[in-house]
Amino acid sequence: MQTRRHFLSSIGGLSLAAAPGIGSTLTNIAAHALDTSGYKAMVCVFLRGGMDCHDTVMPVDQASHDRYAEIRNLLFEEYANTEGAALNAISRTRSNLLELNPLNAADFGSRAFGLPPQMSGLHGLFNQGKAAIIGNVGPLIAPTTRAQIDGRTAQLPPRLFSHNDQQSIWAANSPEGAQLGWGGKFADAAIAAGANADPLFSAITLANNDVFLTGEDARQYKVGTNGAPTVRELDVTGYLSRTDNRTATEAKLDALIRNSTTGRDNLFQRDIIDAAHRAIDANASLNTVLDSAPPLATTFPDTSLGNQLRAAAEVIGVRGALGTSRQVFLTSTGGFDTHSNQAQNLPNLQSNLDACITAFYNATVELGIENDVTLFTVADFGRTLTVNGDGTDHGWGGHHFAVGGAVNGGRIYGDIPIFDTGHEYETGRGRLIPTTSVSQYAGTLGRWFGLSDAELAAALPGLSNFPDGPLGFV
Amino acid sequence: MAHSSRSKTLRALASAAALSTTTLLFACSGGGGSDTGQGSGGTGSGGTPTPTPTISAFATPESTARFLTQATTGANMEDIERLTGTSPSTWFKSELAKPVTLVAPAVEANIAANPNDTGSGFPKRKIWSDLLSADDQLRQRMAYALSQILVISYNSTVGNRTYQIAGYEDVLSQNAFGNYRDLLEAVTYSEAMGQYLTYKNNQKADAATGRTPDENYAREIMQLFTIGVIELNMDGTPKLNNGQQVETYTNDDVFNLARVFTGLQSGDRADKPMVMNANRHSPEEKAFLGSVIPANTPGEESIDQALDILFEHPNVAPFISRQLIQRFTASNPSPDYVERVANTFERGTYVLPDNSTVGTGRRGDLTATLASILFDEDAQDPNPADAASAGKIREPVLRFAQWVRAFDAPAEMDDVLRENLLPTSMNTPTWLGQSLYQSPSVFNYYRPGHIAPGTQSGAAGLTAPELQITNETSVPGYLNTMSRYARVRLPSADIAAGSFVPDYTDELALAHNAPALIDRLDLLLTHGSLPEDTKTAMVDFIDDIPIRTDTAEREASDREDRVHAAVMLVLAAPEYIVLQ
Repeated sequence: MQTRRHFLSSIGGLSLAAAPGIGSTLTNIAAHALDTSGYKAMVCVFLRGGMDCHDTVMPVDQASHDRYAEIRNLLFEEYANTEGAALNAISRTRSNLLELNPLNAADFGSRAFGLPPQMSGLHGLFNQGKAAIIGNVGPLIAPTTRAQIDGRTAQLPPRLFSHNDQQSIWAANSPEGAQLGWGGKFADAAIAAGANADPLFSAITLANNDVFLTGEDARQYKVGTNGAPTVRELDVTGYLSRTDNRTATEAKLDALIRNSTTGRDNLFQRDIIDAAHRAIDANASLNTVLDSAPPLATTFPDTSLGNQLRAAAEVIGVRGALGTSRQVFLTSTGGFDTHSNQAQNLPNLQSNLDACITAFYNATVELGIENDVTLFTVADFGRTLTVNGDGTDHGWGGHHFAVGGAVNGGRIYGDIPIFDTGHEYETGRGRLIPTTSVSQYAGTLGRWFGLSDAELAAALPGLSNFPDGPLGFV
Repeated sequence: MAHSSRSKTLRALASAAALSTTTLLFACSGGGGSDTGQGSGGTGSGGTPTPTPTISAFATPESTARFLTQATTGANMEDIERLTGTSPSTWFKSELAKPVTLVAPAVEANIAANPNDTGSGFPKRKIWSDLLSADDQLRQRMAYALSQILVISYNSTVGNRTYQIAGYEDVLSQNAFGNYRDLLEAVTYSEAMGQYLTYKNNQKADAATGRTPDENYAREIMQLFTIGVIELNMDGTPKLNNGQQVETYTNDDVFNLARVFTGLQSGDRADKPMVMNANRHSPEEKAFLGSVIPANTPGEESIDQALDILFEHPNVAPFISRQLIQRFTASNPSPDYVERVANTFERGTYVLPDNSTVGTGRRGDLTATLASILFDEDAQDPNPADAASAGKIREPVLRFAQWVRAFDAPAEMDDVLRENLLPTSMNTPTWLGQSLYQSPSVFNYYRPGHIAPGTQSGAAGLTAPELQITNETSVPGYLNTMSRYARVRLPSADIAAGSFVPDYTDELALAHNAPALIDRLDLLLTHGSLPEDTKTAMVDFIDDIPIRTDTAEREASDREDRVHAAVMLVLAAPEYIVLQ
């Protein structure tokens, strides 16, 4: 069990005046290196279910595409048949793909790649140098080859191919039950450096609860897609206006809705009470700030992810009023577990993902902060290259995107293994053995976020097993 | 593993049981033992009887309220008064004997009467209505628990959800007191699951196209429905080999088991079992978990053998038992508690406090397992040794249900119980963030192994599944949702029709007497567990709300204000949210 340094967050009424004192106290007790000048935010987009990497970054050189189409012939039929046309909007026919022109095209020789027609926004950002592709990323303990796996000498991450466990390993280097995520550990470094007036606004989820955002000091704070909800019970006005001493009665009501941990030893009850206190106090603080901010002009898709990313942009927009200079955000979107009906479902998911990410980038441009915000994708895993009829099954490594003005974009980092079975980075049915570890991927983001090498090593214990280290995509 | 004659016998028994799923098998030993005396509850795995703890259920109004909260979807005053002083064993057996409330026949009748009402709204309302108010409460609660282990969701992409979901709910309730092996089979053949985990129309491999069977169900039936990802001791803790956990299966096992679940396609109707299309079933050998189903074994026989292989794995008892305990009584059950229940699952019988025996004696008996969960000393003791980790966080659906039942807020199936009046939205800032059959994935709303990061229970290493959906938006979401119902702030048309309108008659009569009002709510909603200082503070607040007496109308309105406020305070109390 880890030692927790329980942080007393000053959330009552957003006591910004008191908060820097807490920051400077930490300054004295924790050796820190994180540069707190300006502003930086990392925004994770978690693709729940595991997006099919092979149906996202696709081969467009003739030879590779021919082989790809051969292996995926059943899926190709579905893609063509869905709307009855030989070449419809979702077709994966070579001419229908959006070819990428990476600055490092030479690294891939005669091989070339394209995105599905649903990803025109990301395609444009890539070509403008604002987006990078990081190929074949996944959980690894050390560089791993197929020979080691076949010879049973590889040290492998636990519970490969399991949704919840691989989500947890991506987020926290440990399967279900993990307690510390790298987003939270990065936020710890920010908190230790006094980057944020109120530590509670260091690690913000717009999605469901996730270990990703929990560190030793940092803990996730959940924001709704329409700001922070308030407890309406506390706003009931009718009878309160008739009480003898309204202020006193309101205080009694407030105390009863919050409840107190005093005299309550049950840990579940204490956690429920803590959650209520955060909900009431921090939400009020955040709303006060959000209410005074001008609305974003950028429009987002009215989808779950669109609303999450809009809300993230809104919180970034009030960074000055919140007194935050380093933040980690989590958003997520599901439906990528396309065992079936992949041709019917994946294009819509990709289209939404593309529109949401593009809108978010545009919003950061509107806020004048596009060079300080880096969005990146995470997924449970990639998927099989071979098909099960009308879908694909769980894989391991997958391809990912990083988007933002700070991204050294227009390049493909890592590797895009060949679209075939039986090669050295494949472990059955075209499931990719990752060639870049999650720790390298995270380490790249962490270095940009401002963590020192020592802080990175502490946050990502497996990183030292990879001699190449972080990749430099941002 | 060979397909033994023992499992053949079991299968025959299973078939017989499946024909009469509503016929409950429990043998009374004839002893008229008192429930408040010493019974002989569990027996160890060696068969040695171990004493049942002193049973406090139904001894006092408070213990009655507490037991009903554990075993049903909520206590009400009528039941508390009726059952206090009676035998909980008798109550348990009477619940077993109640006829099962079914959904699919109701859907059929509704469509016959209203031919255009073929959507999924009707079964959705019916399933909610049954959970809240059907007479077979123990079965309803068990089916609800099973729906969070054997998960399907309306969020599935396509298909006839009306009959699929209705049929699936019926599979769970019909097998709720049956046997886990039979339940597993009924679930496997259900079109709802076939649709949800994408093995309906799954086909054998085809070398010409490179197609291989869909691995979805093969993986999840192992990971979630039977054995889990790591080998377990009987007490639910991981087995360790050189300090390392031992994984139960490999990807090769999944790849092979996937061949088993090929060839199934729609049956007569979406609530009916899927049928086997022999031409589409894989003729290949299916080798998994060290067992082999030979090549050319027909489809239904392959499934039968595969389910036997999975069911006979030693993980099943602790894996399923621990999750069931979490759904009834304890978010973080002690290893001893898990082991006692898992032993009951293995044994298939349980001796109730009155010395009568429930269960068929067949491994996987769910009646015995459920009895073992509810009558266990850990569940019965309201003042456990380790109070810090005891108890269950009531999930939002049960918090809502308890309010409905406590105040007899009608949830009958009539025209006015509209779907949008049910708390079905998953939107946490404004709703409960939990519903029935709306899990975001097959991993349920929360994981049984969830240890909430950044919390006090997490620092102590306690599992707390329900904390996975507790955060800064769910807290207001829950309180605001309950406020709409408890304060009767629903649309006026629905209020006029009586939907979800609480009967606060008895509470209104106590509005002028705040201590009595709070005492009553404490019994009804928190089985008398509110701390004294909390009750004092509640009374102090309620007394601040003036009751004007100049007109009868004002007096009535002010009394309502007091009652509404008092109810909300108790619904917000940690003692309501965490059942200890």
